[in-house]
Amino acid sequence: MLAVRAIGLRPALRASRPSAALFRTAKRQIKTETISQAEARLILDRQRLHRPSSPHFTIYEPQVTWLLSIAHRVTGSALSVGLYAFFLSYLAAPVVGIPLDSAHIVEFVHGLPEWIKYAGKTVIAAPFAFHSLNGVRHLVWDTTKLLNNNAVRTSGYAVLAGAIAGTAALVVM
Amino acid sequence: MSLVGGVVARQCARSARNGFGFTTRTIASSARLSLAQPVPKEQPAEPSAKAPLVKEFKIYRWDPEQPEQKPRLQSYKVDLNQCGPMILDALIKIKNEMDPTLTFRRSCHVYLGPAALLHAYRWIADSRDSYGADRKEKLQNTFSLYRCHTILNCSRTCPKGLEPGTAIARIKLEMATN
Repeated sequence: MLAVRAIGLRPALRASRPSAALFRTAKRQIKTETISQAEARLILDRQRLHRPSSPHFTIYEPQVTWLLSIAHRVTGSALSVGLYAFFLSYLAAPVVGIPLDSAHIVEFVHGLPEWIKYAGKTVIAAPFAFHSLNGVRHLVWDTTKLLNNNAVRTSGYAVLAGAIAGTAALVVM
Repeated sequence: MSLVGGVVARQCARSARNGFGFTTRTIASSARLSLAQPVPKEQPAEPSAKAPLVKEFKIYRWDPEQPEQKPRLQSYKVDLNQCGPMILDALIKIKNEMDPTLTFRRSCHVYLGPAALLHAYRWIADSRDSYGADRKEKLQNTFSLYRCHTILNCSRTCPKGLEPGTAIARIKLEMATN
């Protein structure tokens, strides 16, 4: 299929058929040249290099649905990064020379100031609590239950409340 | 009617009298169909004419011919009573009547949206339909169905109160268990 490219004045590549009346009376005001499909694609790719991304995240009304969904994704990836870092540290420990066994870890944490201990526990417990409870919510959805708008909203707030309570429980433990 | 090149013979009606008791004429013409011109639509000022329902469309515009110019929001006011129901209808109306420089493209052949999947489920769930297996087979790829991550914005935003999220979850369950 050959593409038609309009040249001359501000080009108006029509995406739709103009109304018959307009077509009959208006004179052709632009010149066109025919280019190959490959060349048309090149032009498009060149435009795309400079094309700004349109606002999607920033402009969509905040809603329980997608706010909790993106929180699930973010907490999930954060927890994964932490877990992988912890696993990999077992490989790095002998290389760096820092011993990584239970006795040393307990001794190190014991020596930290109180506020760091609580802050650290919160930072780990909060995403873990939220992601676990929201994960259960996702599993329930996979059984096709609780998918109507009211149930989604109620279960969403329940997960948030449970996450706060769960974080509190884990931090004071 | 002069005979020109014999392209299309148009016939308005066949019978002299149709079932409703009106007389109809048969017109045969060899004139090209493309010579036909629609009667320009008149807008009569009748008291029963719909009051204009104006909606403002703010479109994020960017000109690839002037890439250094920052993208900006451009406002268009469209009378929804003179326009088709879809956003695409509004865009086409803006392009035809207000600003021909508005350019857009759409690519729907790979992804299926919640509306299409809801419609598909309507048929999959119908016991009278014998093509259920074929419909499910068409969804066996990474894009059509499984790009859904159960965000559930679709059900939340549906202006008709339908539940595409529920339908999609049911399709997924059927695909997994059959």
